Amino acid sequence: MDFSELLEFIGSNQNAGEAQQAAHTATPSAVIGASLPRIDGPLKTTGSATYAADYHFPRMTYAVPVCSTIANGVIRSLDAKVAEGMPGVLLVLHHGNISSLFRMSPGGRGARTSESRPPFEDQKISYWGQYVALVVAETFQQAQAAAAAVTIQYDIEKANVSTHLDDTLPATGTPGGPHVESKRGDSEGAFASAAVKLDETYATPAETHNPMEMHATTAVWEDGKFTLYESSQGVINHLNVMAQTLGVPKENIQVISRFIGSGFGGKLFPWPHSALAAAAARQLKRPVKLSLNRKMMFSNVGHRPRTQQRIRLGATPEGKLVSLQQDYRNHTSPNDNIRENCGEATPFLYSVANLQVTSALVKRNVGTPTPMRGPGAVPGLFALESAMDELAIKLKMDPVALRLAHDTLIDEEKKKPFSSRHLKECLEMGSEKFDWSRRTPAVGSMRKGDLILGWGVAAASWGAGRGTSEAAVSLKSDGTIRVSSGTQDPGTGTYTLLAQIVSDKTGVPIDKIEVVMGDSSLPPGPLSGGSTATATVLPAIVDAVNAATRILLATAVAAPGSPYLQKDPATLILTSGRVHAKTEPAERGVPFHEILRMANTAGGSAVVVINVANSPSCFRM
Amino acid sequence: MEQFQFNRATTVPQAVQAAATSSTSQQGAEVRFVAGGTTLIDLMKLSVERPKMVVDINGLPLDKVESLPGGGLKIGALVRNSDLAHHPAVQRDYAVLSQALLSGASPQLRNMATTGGNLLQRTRCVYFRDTAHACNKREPGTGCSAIDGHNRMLAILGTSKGCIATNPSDMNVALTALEATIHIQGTKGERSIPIHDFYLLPGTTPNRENVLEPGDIITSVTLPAPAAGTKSLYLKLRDRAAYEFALASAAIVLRMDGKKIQSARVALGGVGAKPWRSFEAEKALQGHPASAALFRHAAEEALKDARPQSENAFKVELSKRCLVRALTLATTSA
Repeated sequence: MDFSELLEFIGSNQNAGEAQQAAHTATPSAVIGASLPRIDGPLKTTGSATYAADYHFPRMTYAVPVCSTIANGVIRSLDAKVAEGMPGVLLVLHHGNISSLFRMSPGGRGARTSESRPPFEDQKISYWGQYVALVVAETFQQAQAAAAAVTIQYDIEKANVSTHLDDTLPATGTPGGPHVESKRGDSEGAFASAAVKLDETYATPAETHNPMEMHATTAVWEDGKFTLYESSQGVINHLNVMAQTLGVPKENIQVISRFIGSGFGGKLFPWPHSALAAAAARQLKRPVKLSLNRKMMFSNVGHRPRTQQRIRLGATPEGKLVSLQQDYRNHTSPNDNIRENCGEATPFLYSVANLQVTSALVKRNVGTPTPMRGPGAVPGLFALESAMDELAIKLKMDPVALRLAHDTLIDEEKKKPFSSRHLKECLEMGSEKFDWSRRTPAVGSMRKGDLILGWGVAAASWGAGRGTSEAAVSLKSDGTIRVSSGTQDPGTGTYTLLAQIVSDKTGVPIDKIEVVMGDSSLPPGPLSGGSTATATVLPAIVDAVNAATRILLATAVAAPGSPYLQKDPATLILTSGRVHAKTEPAERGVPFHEILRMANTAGGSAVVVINVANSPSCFRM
Repeated sequence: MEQFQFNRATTVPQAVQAAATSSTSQQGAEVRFVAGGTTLIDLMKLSVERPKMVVDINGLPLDKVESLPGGGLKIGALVRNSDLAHHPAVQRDYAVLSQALLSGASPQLRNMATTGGNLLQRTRCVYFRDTAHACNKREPGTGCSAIDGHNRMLAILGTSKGCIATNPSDMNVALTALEATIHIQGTKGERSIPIHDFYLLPGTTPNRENVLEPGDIITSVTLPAPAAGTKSLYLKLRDRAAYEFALASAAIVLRMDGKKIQSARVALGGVGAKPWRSFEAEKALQGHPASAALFRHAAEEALKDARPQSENAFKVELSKRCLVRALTLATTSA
């Protein structure tokens, strides 16, 4: 999925209407930019933070998947009789006896899964390690022992896991053939007639995410409702997917992911083990805990696919690019067509009149690829920037100078000026700081004592995207503030950010702010992906704080016993956690929770739910 | 998952008796000792080691470092790697050993790993460690998957047509250069073996890695007294600066007489099927004045029988340069 598709998926609304943000000038803050300990730090360092596999319930059971030992073929027979008879074994699920798991309906929004094929849908094996059975037992060790006792006969077919992506493909633009992603001018003609040519192919390997925490699911099914404890970068998306996969209404599923041990993109979209754990819980009517082992993390939960990228650059002898072509391929799984968007930055990074980017997929017996840390642009820029370096060598030109010569303030693909672009400053400032003028390009020519020095430069670009989000803020009569959103903290510090922004806007100290996230029953928040979550959720929280504050000030002028009774709320302000007149210092004001007590508001709290994308905001007391 | 019996030995004879019931003490042993567990437990989880009985020897009285009357050092088999590395006598008199230990593994691993365990550390060859692949060391006669596979980290010296696995230990290389002696208690009593004779080359039996017999337990390692004016050094070259095995390493123990090399002991790591004592390099160095040309000549001699594989030919030159650099560092610093 390329970055623009990801943004679309996140739900970026081009017609935000009334929800447009006014430009703010930043005012100095004691909290924003301060070096704060993470508010979830003590929980994590004391082992109290609950991750997906940490939950324990009465009558807990443990599930261990059985994995295929071939990469391509069909299951001829599966014998679970021995396994079923082993101590503690409750159930061995496989194609023959699993309750229905469904595919996603096409064309829906906000529900993306990783593998389109539900686990155990058929007897076909598409990659080594693919789940073929699930053993559920009273203890993990019993399940593990029984999993080793399931015997499977395969009809093996020749697998293709070749890392050479040179497959012959149909013609460009035809089904299965390369696809033109971007085109301007006549890149072929300009290259053919260029005085200086570079034609090189670069490959990047498959990369697995392997976060510290293995993927895991603890699935509880009770009274027709699922509570799924997951390790997820997107609880709302996970809910939307599971509703379809399991065939249950959304209101009958709750997805909880309070803490995750990193994801790096691998935990954005659900993997088959989630559905397996949920199906087992439903069939057994007991909670099921399933944790992948480290080995499964290499085959069953996605990876950045291998890329092979041909870059052709044409230039004048004076060093002006006349043609840029990037023709890339990546491998994908037999069942899913996943493109690693290597050409994402290529069309806008440099000024060149003639440009073409094409993409192609080649099928291999591997698991389904998925976004991994800067999908597309990372391997794509490696290829492009390597080529630019090699071109600089051919031209006998300084690599920084070559890039500066092709800087542009216009996106030549979209034919629009950039709202901001600072690549030139990066290159110039960097050169100065590194004393780049001292660099001598001959290999091995720079020394420091016994060390041979090499200095290089490369440019990078990543889109700064935003989506839509909801958030809830409660000012409570016990003096605390509760802020919540159905987003999650993949380890980047989202918990602390939310507390920080609320503290900044209200003056209430961080330790009096409760942050609640990682729960699909909360107001829908953003996917933690594409470096978009903070930019998406923070404005919603600011809006929610502002709205809650307006209610508070309205309460202050109506509450019996309030010193501000019947004053104009526009003359009041909330700072340092106190309501006070704008003309008086905060110390002369009233702590916000005392205003709430004076007013005897229901539940002692003001709750505001703000939806940035749609209008109007709605208020709940 | 395999079932096994777990016993604790409280005396050395008890440990010997328990292990004597095993048909071998080499690959496939039915009885294994566990001390730090940093090799055994990994290999059991991978099903590479499948003992029927595991004997915990952590309680045995083998954890002291003692000076010997003649000036040497006796190191108990259960001394932890980190304790050994930081022992004042080791840092003072056997610097190469301390440097080698500290260059290996991670602090957590060094805190658990023992002298005896490190001596018996197994190869990191990915095919040995993955039962999905053919491996002559794990299952004799099934073939060597590394020879036409991924062999960048494997050996270029002492290999055979059946096995190219490296001994990955740093400590063993230092002990080899120090001419350590390994002391063993077995069913027939005690015996002592110079470390150079302890390890076996793979040949046609890569499953046999050392001379231990069923019932044998390593009780201690002794080091000879260092001669006055001895300088020793360990240099390790690897992809990462920490928590990584050697691509090539060199342990040297030198005694100079002015500019002349009076005696030299050289061992190479990262390149040998066993910790590689280079008599060739020593012969080239001894009695000659130190010079860059001499060092390079010694390095050429050391690697002249190297047999590079498809992915590790670079090790031939890297190992030479490693030795030259180590010799240079040892002879130029104060």
